[in-house]
Amino acid sequence: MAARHWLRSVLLLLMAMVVGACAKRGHGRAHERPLSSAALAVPTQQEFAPVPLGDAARGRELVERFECNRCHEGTGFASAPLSKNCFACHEQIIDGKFPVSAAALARFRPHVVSAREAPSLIALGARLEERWVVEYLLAPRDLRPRLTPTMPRLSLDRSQATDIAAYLTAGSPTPRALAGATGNPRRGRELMERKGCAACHSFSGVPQFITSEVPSESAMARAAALAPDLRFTRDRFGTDRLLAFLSNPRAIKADTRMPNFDLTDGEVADIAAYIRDTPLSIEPDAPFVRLPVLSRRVSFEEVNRRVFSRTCHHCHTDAQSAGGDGGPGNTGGFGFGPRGISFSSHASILAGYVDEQGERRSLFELLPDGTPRLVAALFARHDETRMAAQNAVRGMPLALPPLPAEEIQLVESWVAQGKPL
Amino acid sequence: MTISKRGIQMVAVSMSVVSLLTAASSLACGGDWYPEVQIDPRIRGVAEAEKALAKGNSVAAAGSVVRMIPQIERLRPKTDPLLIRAERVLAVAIARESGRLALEQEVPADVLGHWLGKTKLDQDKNLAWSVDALRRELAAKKDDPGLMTELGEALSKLDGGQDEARTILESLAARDLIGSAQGYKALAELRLQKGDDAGQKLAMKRCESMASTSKVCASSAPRAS
Repeated sequence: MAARHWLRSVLLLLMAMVVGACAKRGHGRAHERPLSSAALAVPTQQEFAPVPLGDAARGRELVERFECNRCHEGTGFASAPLSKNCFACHEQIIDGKFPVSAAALARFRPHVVSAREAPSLIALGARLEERWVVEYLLAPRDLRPRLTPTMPRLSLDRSQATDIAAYLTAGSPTPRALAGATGNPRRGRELMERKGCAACHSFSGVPQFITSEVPSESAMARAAALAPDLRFTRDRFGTDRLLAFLSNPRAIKADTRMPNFDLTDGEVADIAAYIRDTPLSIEPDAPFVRLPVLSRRVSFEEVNRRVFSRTCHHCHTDAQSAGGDGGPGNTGGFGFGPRGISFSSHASILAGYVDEQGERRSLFELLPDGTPRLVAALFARHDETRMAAQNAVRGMPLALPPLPAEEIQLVESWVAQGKPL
Repeated sequence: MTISKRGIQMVAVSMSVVSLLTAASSLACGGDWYPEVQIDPRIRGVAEAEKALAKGNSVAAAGSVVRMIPQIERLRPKTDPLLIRAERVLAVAIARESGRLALEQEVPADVLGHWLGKTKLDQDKNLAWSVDALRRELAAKKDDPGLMTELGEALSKLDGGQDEARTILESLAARDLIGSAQGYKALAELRLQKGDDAGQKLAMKRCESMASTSKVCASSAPRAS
């Protein structure tokens, strides 16, 4: 009896070792293989479904909580209603269909023309490395130089980011790569110039492409807006996904604006080799220079006209006077709680914000380094876009380019002067 | 000669048809037809009153509200945002004018009534109404530092209201949440009443740096005795 138990245990142990070894091989192979022209098959029966890093079911709950559907299609949830749908709202304004007066439309339109859409999340797992998605969620960067908004820095911890990545990348297996010919980066670059890739894509860190003009035709311009900087592709896609995507983009992501160039397997391998292996020469961003406080008087009218009403008011407003729900920066949204911040008037700005404990606090309270909180948030946005250390204060404006130094100087001067009316 | 009923009907129908056909080309009135849109003038009026108040023109702001909505004292609005805003303007204006609205030249006497605040009794009545209105608004909009500042201002003018006013305004000042220069001015006066000269100077300095004009931080109008 004891011998039979012992034999069963040994067999189970052997089976576990075999399974473990197979799983390890599957995980480790992605970055160790030369670029292969035979790796181009779109997902078929030869698929590789990696074990997700996080809990996809929890990730789904978080995607709902963080309201990813306010900006993105392909979240697994219906698009947000118009009042909360950033890009559907912008689209309607640009197309003249938004239900407001013609005068209001004319006033809104110039502000949203460069913020028309966000990339869809359809088939994310067939395109992006799950690990990369986790890091991107934690520290979003400007992937699309021709698109004004960026992914907002949400209030996420690593565990939550991992679960969201697991959910978003689930169900889209990576095409299996097979051994074959290695691509030629030099030929890849020549091909990219010939095909006009730079008409839509930036590729920072490599010598400039000849075809680098943004197309004027509107459909192409919209495609260009969503086209990522190829500098990040080596980390985002990994080799297998890149080969498959280049071979037939729409077979991977049905709604992509990337055209199918009918490349041969060899051409795909060459382009992928250039994108993946070309050494990058990235110039470090110039450090942000904080300008001194102005000695001249800065009125509320000036700082409101140039900064608050133009930039802050859109997400931090007073529902009673402006309609709508007051924006995510007032009544909450994107996973943020209701902060009660309103940039509707001088008095409402002085009324501060509601902290985690539900207490009202000033937007101008001094942080340990003596910087008022509001000003620190404006500086922090510069840190975020330069991928400097993540600041404890969330950068503002959320998901938009940082304010120029002159505008921050204006805000800082107004605060230093006692926030005059 | 008799005209048959049928004949009258025919003539009436014909005239209607002719008038309809000719109307299509009748452009003598400018050609196009415009709907007559009724816009409540009080929307703009209240917004202007708010601006006047913010600029320190309390009497003008109050006059505008009383002229537009003479019955405002009795309304006690709960849901209409326009009336709530108008009531707030009037309440704050009364507090800033210490209960006396010098509107004799602008508003008919029968409309003005006790708003004029010629006697101490009327001034007290006006200030009590102001405090009551601001308390009601604050009950509906809890934890609004702007409204709390204004309630502190109004209480600081009301007999027996100073202690509560001091508690409210000191609490806001400690958190840098006083919502107006006038709030700092009221705090400065309250501190002076307690003999806190240094505190008075600090509050007055904040008033002066925040105010759009120097008259905002000048001494309050004396009350009738």
